[in-house]
Amino acid sequence: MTRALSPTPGRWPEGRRYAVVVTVNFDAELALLGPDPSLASLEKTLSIFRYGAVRGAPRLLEAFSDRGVPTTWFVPGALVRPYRSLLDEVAAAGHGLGARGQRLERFDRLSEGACRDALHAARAAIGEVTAADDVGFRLPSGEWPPGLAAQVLDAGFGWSSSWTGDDVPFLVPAGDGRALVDVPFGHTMHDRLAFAWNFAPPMPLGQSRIASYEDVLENWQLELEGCRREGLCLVLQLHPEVAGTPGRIDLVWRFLDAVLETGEAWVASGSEVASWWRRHPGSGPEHPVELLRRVSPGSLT
Amino acid sequence: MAVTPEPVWPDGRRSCVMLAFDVDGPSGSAMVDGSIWGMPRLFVQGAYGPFRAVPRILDLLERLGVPATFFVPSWVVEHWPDVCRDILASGHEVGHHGYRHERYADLSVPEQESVLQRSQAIFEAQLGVRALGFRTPTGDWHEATPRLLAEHGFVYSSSFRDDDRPYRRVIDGRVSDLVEIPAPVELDDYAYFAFTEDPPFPKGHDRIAAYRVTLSNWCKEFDGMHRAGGLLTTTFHPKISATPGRAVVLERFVEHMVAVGDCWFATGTEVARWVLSHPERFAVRGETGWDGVREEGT
Repeated sequence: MTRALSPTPGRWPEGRRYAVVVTVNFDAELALLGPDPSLASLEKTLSIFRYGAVRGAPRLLEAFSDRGVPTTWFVPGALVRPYRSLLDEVAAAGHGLGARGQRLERFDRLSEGACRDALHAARAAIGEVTAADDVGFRLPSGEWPPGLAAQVLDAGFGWSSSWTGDDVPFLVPAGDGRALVDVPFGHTMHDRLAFAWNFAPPMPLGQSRIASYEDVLENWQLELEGCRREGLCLVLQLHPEVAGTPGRIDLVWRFLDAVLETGEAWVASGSEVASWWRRHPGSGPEHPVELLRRVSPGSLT
Repeated sequence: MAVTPEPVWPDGRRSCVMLAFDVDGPSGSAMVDGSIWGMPRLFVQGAYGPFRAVPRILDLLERLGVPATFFVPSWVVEHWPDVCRDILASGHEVGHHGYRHERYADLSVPEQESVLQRSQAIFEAQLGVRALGFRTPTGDWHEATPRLLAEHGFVYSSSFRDDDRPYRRVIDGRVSDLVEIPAPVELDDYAYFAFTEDPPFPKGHDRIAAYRVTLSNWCKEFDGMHRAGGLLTTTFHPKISATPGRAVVLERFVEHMVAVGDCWFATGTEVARWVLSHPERFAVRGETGWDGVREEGT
């Protein structure tokens, strides 16, 4: 008898055993200036993130197009104007676009009105680049404040990829019988947490050493193996300035090749996975978000 | 150092493994102070343990035929009773780990008694058993805790770091029937894998360790313990070390230990009963050496 999830016919389309979603967080200068606008004079530090726009993003786009991998790029709305031509290229290559707020806001520190304004501004900005109606939202950082799911839907976003805590998508209750599909991730599948480093301001906070490239790739491959075993959904988060260096693009190539060579993976955009999952009857009363709604109704809505 | 250790385990087994999991779920300091109710993402990340990871671990243990001990805060038992019943039905043990994972050092004696009594009542009502084992939630216990454990019928604690095999504890100057089964930090998955964005954990947002290197450390710890004829227990948290990929590592670790062949896999209560029925084979340890040192110095 199996208690954990196991590969189930029909869980994913096209008879595929498991799903893989490759996402790119394109923050450019807002990685630094979103949380703290007063750092605008730190040109050298800002250049870390400009590297992502200049070299990293084109290198990632090439890796994806060589392999025919559809991806989803999360962009703060305020970057649409300064980086319009790059984002047009992303969209023209068939990748999905989503928003991480307007300026990588901490939504848990904003008033309800400021949340709403940021979400609407971000949705409008993404709408300038793509006519797609199923645009995703990713919480930049911090906690998920009560009522945010409803606000995300009201602003015209179709789905989210903001939570951890599950191996397949689930439905975040939004009140009034509505729900927001989330395509959750894990912290292992994240290039910036493994590799980003800066002297001042310190990144990461404790300035631990840059991780071993081979070890990180092996971690990713082990999570892929675990995902394959049970027929789950694996979400990778990449950042152009991190994964798009000449030395690290090799990890992206090898990970994607490992995904593709099994022939069992449904490699899909976040939007495709979310809309597929929307046909599910729901997360079930035993899902932790439903438990949270029962024990602490004010935590979510 | 290649000398065969004095045999202390049943059937001439060379070493003992008490595989143990702390099923904290979303409990912990944020639930004790109530801040968890404003942190839905942290709640769901913690709930992954009983929701997804424990079922995966039960499958794994069944495949490999190994018993384990699960220390479960009784808040988790209240909210995931079916998962906890499945732990017992699968032949494993459940032990006490606080109600909301309280730090015993922070509780008064009546508060500690209240957590113990409330938790035992929940265990009895939901699972039909009382806990016989105890593992300190969040670090240290209170100086009165061991006496309270003995008075409340606990047979063992698995909390300390001060030996590589179990011992009988001296409480209030007398040898008690409370067994301590020390748990080394090298086998605590928090030291390798735990990560939360906000509040940051680890505090400096250190990298998540390499799975391969972690497995290698764990296997070396087991190999050394087996050589020394000791007892190895783990402080594995399902939400941390039983994600899909880390469960592959966990499986390889258990396979490595099973392959050795002459290792006794036991639950905490089985270990404690063995110690109590063979007192001549195990040490008796005082409360702390520190008071004595201090008294001599004054």
